Amino acid sequence: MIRLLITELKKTRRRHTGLVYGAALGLMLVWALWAMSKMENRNNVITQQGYYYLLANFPLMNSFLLPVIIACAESRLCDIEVKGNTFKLLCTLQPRRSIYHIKLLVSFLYLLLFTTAQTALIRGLCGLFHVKQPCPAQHMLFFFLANLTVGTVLVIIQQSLSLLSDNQLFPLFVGVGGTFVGIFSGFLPQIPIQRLLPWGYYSVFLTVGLNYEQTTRTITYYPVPFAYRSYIGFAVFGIIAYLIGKDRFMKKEV
Amino acid sequence: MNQKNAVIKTKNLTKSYSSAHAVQEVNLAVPEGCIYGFLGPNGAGKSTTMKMLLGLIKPTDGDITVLGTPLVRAGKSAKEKERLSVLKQTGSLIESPSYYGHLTGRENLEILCTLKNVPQSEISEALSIVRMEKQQDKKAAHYSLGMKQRLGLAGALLGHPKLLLLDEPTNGLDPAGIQEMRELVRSLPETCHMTVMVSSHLLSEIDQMADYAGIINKGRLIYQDSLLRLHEYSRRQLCLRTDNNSRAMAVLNENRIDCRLEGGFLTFAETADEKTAYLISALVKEGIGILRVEERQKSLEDIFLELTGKQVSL
Repeated sequence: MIRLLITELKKTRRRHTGLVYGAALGLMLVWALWAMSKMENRNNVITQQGYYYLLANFPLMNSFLLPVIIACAESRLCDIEVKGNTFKLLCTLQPRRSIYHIKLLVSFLYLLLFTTAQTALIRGLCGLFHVKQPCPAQHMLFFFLANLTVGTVLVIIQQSLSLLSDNQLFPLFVGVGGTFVGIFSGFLPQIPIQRLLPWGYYSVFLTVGLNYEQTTRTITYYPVPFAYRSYIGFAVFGIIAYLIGKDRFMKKEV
Repeated sequence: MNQKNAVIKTKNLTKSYSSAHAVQEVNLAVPEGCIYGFLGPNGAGKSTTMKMLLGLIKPTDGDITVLGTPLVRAGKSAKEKERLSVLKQTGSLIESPSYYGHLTGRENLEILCTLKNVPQSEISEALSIVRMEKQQDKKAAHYSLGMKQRLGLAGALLGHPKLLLLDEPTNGLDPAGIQEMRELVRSLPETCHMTVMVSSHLLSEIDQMADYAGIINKGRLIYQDSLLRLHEYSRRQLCLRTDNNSRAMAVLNENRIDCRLEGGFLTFAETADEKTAYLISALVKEGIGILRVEERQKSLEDIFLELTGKQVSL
């Protein structure tokens, strides 16, 4: 297992997959610094509810950025095998299922690093802007968990598509298309499309809601319960996606 | 062919896609320490057979034994662990070479070393065998096709495998590259003590490389023996054209000389000088005019075409 993991990491040399995630994190940091420092009623929103502010906005940022980032990263990780015609060689050296699993593990590690860094970023930004709100540990944990789970399911979908496609344009198109559907589904709460497609789930698992008072132009954040049922349903969907993806890959003729 | 010393043995190996048979009841026997040329026209089933030997394609039916270990029995594959332990002693280069274009040649081989669990010190040796020491730090994407093939071969040689499976290793190479690859393959049984199974659709390739040959056509193995034996088929014939072939044939039959009428020529299997003199004098005595006397020898190409029934380009 360790040997295969080392091999997989060696293969990703010069693919700069980490940079793809790093770029997304950098963009979020720049946006957060700009938004938090320029905000009207800064004292009200940032100082009093800084954690809630970030816990409400980062998932929205994730639904904008992460599906595309994941599609790009998976395409970079899988394209080396497709382009290099390596499956027929790898299948004589390692169990076929391990090719799928090791790639998934490496992608998961990237995602874990990204999610941990993003959660740490919330803590760091709140420290930087002297947020008085106590750190809502439970909300932070749900944010981390939901982020990681949605990301993992998207990784499974994108990896399966990338490994099965000779042309990486198709999985990239699916990733970009999914992003748009995910974003716009958030604007149409009356249509249940948000819960039908995995790309919309970043905002389904929000644990912070907001009230916008038009007359005073103030925003107030409030906690909402974590959508446990949706989470379990989504996790089951992820397992099914994994089983189908792995099965298709196992049956792929090399 | 001695089945006992065969490093690859198949029995009734079959692969079907719905109703079409890609490979049908193939019984291979690749003797140890030789170069076995697997010959056949495009689409005959060479790659499918080699992929089945490596476990890349599941056979529909039949048995496969590689290096003494049964890998498939009656179409049922052995456990993956068993298959991989046999394949650890096997190197392969199937169709186009496999490589990571963003990595250098050496880095590509480092990955294979880790996967094969062999020391990295073997890389230099493999690179020197394929004469690629100077290009080892160049990215594989920048290699020519010939260099990619040689890199693939270097990868296959890592771990000193007992058996090497090369599927059309000269495909797409220029004449110099073809010659270089041929020499390289030719030297392997002696320098590296391995058995090589090499496929090609070019008879001349196999003729220059192999000791044994298997000819596959439309999924069926139609010939399998030493190349020397195949050469024996190409014995000489005497061909004679007269001004009255039918009368000449009657005269020869009266003299108990066997002959056949083919394309306006009377053909004789034997061409001993005395017999030639005898039959010509017999014809002249009867007043038959001899227009042309030719000695013909069937080339391997002709035999191959006869066996495969293909008269067009292969």
